[in-house]
Amino acid sequence: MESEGRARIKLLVSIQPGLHLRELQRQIGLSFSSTRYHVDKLAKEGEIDRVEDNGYSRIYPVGTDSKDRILLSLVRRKTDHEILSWFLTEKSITQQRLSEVTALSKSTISEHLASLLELGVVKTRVGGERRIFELAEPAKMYGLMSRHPVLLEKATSRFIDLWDF
Amino acid sequence: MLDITDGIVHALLVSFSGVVLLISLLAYAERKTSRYFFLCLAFAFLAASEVVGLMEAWFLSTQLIFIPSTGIHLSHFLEFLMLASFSLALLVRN
Repeated sequence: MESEGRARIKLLVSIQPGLHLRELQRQIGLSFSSTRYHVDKLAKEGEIDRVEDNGYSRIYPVGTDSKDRILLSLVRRKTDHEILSWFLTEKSITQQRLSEVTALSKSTISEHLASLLELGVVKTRVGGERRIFELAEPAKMYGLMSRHPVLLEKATSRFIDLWDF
Repeated sequence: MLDITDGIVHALLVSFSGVVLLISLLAYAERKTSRYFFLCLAFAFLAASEVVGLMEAWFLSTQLIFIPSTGIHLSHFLEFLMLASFSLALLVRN
């Protein structure tokens, strides 16, 4: 029974790397403490990697490189996900256009773009008088983004969490 | 005579209760426990009650529909069933 639970955890993490503990618990259907126990055991045995990220405990298949971890973590954050979605839609985009389409302030966009540039997720080129931003690896990002749950899945997940006591 | 604003409000109530019912069904499909089953049931009764309310507003000039030979208002009975289902969802072990 114990090994079955751990096998399921490993399978889920391999399909959805970067899952956080709560999300994993919800999908696996065990209690939170049992899930945490199995995750701790697997992490201790080197079967999975558990990383603390902005208050979330994210779980990755063992051997996931640090750059991929960062990307997976980014696509699971709301604002970064929204900004990156626009990169996939428009391919090349200016800071002003991003601010218009996302309805986020210029300073918020600037802050996120700076961090995406630093991480090497986006690159920049000069087009006329403006800086144009593009994804460094659009195909890779498309693959990662398509794993992100849609609104209905998010609502279901929140509904489950709300009644899970 | 149908009050347009009231008619729209009833249509919105049916739509929103349908969305919540859908979410609860997806939650049940994922977890398959008795708690989520009773929650689905509760939201199904809520949606049914809202449909009855819509029919009363749109087609019966807000006249209430009764359950035959009982004297009970159908929408009230559905609300009672909804509350009973919520209570069961709270009481059962997950």
